[in-house]
Amino acid sequence: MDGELSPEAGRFLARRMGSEEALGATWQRYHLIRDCLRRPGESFALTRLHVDLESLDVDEETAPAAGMPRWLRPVAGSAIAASVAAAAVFLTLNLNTAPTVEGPEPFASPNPINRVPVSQPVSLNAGNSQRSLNRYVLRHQQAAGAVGQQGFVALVPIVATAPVQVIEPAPDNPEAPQPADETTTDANQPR
Amino acid sequence: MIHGSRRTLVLATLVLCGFGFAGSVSADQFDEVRGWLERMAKAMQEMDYQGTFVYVRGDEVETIRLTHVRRDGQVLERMVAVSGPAREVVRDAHGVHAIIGEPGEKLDDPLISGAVFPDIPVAALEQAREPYAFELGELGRIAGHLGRRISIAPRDRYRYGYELWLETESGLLLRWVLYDANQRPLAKLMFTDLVTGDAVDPEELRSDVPEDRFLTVSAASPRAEPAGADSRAASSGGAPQVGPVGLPAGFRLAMHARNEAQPDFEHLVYSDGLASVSVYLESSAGQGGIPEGLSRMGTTNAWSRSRAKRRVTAIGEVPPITLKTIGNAFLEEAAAAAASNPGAE
Repeated sequence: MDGELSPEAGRFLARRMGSEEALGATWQRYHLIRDCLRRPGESFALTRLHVDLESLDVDEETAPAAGMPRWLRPVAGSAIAASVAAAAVFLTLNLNTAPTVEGPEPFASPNPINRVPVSQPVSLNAGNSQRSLNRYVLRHQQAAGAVGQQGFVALVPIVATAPVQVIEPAPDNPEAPQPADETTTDANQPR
Repeated sequence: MIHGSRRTLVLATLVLCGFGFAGSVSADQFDEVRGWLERMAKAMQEMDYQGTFVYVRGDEVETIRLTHVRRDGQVLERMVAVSGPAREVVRDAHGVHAIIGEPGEKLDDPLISGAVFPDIPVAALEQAREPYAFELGELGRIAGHLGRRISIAPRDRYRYGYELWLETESGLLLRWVLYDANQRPLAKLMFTDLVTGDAVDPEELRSDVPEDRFLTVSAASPRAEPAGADSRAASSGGAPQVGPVGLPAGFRLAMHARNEAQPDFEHLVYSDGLASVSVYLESSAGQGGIPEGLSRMGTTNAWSRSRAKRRVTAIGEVPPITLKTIGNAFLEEAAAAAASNPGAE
């Protein structure tokens, strides 16, 4: 399916599929799944994916030894898990991507849990955070405006509302100094 | 050999002349740009204008209708979001009134003030001369008006850049772009139609929304003390309890405010002449606040962290590194103060 079988093994598999109907059906299902995953967003493809995954589950439960060779089943299971995980990650990122921060690219990995995006924006629907930041921002605008430092287009971003997004949570130990990722310039406001 | 030396000398002279010419052009352009910005500030305040502009931020596009009229020295203004949730800001002789959200939604402690396009800090532009490069650009057509492009580019990574298109006749703002340090646009604003003078329909100042739905913005605000060059010493009565030991170049204290009801609370505003950063100092034992770390709302970033029982929050339309640098400077100061006087807290 993924081109990693040697020519000999491929010919052996083709002969088995020609003589074994259940193996041939399994092969077709996996090809259908592959094609569906290669064309995300098409309703027909996604519907078929759902149906075929369900039927696969039934097959696994009711006839565990039928069809697929035992050595291929863990590999196939990993492939499905990775594919579904990739789709889930993709959908999650679509929901949470911040407008001005490039979200991490969707990825497929045999063990996706160990791979964590460096900076994944999190949309905070909690009203308290939004209200608190609203207060801080509006107070900032008011104070900056009072001293003629409000900037060019101050109020528009407030009216064009945007949700609060945490783009880099604080480290677990709040007392630890935060690493400076850029050299600090000379102090110009010494006490 | 002699000819070669002469040629080198001539080339070196030409190169030096070129640098000198470029330097003088840059200086001239700062003065020209300042002139344009002064015209813009005056036009945006004193002229009558009405139009629709789009505000683009990432994948989001907001369409906003604006009417600005000056009557008997009083600015009357109305800004309505045409798309998305109900948002409307009306400014009249009685203050600023706002609707943000649908019926039933309520904003706690609304602190909206000022104009849609506020006063440009022209007086402080001299301060921005070092951290920004000012350039006068080409002519272009926007919303049926001829405009001149102005570029204000940051010289380091501690501030964003701006591009403005100003109407050649009046100086009105036609287009505005906010850039990050990598020259990627963060937000854009552009008029799609704009009329001025007698063509403005004052009827659009009237809102269709019942008055009782508007929140009248209170004038209650922290007691602000605009800061001069040595204001920290001058305002010793309300001077900050902690001060920064290091700030990004170009940022200076512009305002310091304290709330008498909350003696632990301080609000400082730092500015580089164009961008400003608010620093809030308060007890970390207080309730509420934003999540620690880096947050963002639109193009405004926020950074908050607690240390030595003090919470430092920095907010501004500047890159995150600027907020971290400023915030960490205050954190270090708070930690040093706590270490030298452990019984104070």
